[in-house]
Amino acid sequence: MSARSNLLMILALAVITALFIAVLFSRGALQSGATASNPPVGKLSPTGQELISSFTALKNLGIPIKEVSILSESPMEVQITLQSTSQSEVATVDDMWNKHIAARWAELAYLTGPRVDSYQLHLVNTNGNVIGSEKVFLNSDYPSQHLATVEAAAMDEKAILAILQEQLDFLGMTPILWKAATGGVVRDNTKVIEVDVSTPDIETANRTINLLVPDVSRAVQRINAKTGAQIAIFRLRVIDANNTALVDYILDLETGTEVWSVERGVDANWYPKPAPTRSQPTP
Amino acid sequence: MRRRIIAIFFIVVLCGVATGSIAFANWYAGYEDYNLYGAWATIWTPSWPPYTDPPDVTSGQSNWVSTAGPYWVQTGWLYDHGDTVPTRYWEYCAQNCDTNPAQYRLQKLSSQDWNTGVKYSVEYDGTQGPLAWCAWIAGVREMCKTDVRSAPSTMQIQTEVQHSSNNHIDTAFAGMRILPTESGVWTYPNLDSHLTADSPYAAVRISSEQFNTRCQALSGFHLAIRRSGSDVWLDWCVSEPPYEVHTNTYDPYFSPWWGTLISTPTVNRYQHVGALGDPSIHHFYVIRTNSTVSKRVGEFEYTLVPGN
Repeated sequence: MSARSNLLMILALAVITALFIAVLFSRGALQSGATASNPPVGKLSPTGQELISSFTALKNLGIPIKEVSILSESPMEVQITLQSTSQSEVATVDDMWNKHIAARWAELAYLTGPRVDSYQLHLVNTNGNVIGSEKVFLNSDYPSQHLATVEAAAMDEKAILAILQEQLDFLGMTPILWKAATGGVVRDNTKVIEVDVSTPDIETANRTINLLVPDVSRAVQRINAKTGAQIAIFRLRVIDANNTALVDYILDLETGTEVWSVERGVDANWYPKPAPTRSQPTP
Repeated sequence: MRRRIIAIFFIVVLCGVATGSIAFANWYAGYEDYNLYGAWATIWTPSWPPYTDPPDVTSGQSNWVSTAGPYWVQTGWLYDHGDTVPTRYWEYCAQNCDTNPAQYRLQKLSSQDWNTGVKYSVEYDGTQGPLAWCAWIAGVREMCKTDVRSAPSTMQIQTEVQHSSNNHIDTAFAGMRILPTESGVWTYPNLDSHLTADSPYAAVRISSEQFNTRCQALSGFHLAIRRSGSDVWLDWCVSEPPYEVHTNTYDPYFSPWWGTLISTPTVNRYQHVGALGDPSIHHFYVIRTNSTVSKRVGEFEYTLVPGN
């Protein structure tokens, strides 16, 4: 074989090798969904891997996490995709709960691992379509970014429920469910309280709903501060005779977040909202 | 047995319940414009806590920049009855808002002290997605909701009063700008024709980039009275200085004249020092402006002599 043939073979091999490496690189980059500053998935730093692992723990607690990816490690930007059971473009009430738990998981990550600077939250339906998304930048003015570690609560779940049962006024609605749990989707030593109250129908609920939600919310915050109950999340649902949740209200006392869903026909008016438009209608 | 003499203090509202107070209703005052890609304003808090009608926590106000509904992103400060200071927040309804169940998120952030201004902005951000709107506070992006609505949108910069039209408002929206095109220049709003208000509130143009929300100077405008130690505090929220504070010690329905004038403050409150403590002297009050007079309020004390 001539020297020229050898040279051509070496050149051909070099080109093939370069193409192979390029393909491998591009596959890795696609998998990471990354920009130049992002390492491929397999090359996440221990910090990034720790963050991904923490969401695996959340998935094991029943939150339908479809995918978690690190978009950037500096600043730390995480993308969380949740699987909805919805087949349409309309999210379910369970989605609201799942989104909130996933969001607070990202916000409180710094307490046990790396700090998240921002997170994207996507919700996909059973067809794989994104039906809800938001991006939150965890600046220093978020209450969740200033939490201290918590010791064991001074009272157990039974004692906390007893206080709440004694002090919460549901304005004529009847409590039908009281539930308390420690840890799990919230931090160790903190609690999730869930209360369902019943009302015959929307008309009855509308008489008191705008007092009920803020009154109960304020009372829970007062009791929490006064007793050291260490309630992290308080959930109140107003259930009608058809077992429909007319209002599903979640108050997060650690993150300063309130999320709620309201059925059509409920005269919910306790929160800030835009005015009815007066000028040219919004198209 | 030694007898104790107890002076009991009462505050009376002589005109009864104010008209227009409807439970669970809302009142708005401020700016609205359409076909916008963004709007911002430096929203000031009042110099002191505004009066809110007791007794429940639904009574209060919020002051904000927002896209119009049904799908909206909003940011500003809110203050409810019982709060010590206003709280900054962002909020949205971006899912199922016109179907059911509508879903909302309200995120409370740090507080905003009295008599301070913070820049709030809601802006369309096409780089985040075709339906993305972001909330900014003090020049810092706080949140982007990427499934809100397309742009442009009707936008509002307003005060919202909740629960009672007796609530006082006193908010300055300064340094306003609007964005009429996606990649264009932030411009001054048209405050000559885009201010609206529900009675008894008013939105008043101050300059080409500022309006204030206050109470209208209607006949019988609301006058709040409270005690602090041996002093009486009066608060009102019309914007028509100078004000005349008149008092009379025996006639609730006195006619204000120079003989009943006790002060001419330029701000919307008055502290009547040492007004309390003597059960033999009552005080009835009315505020007079250039055009009208307030409702009447008063205090009276009387002595209780407990039995054995």
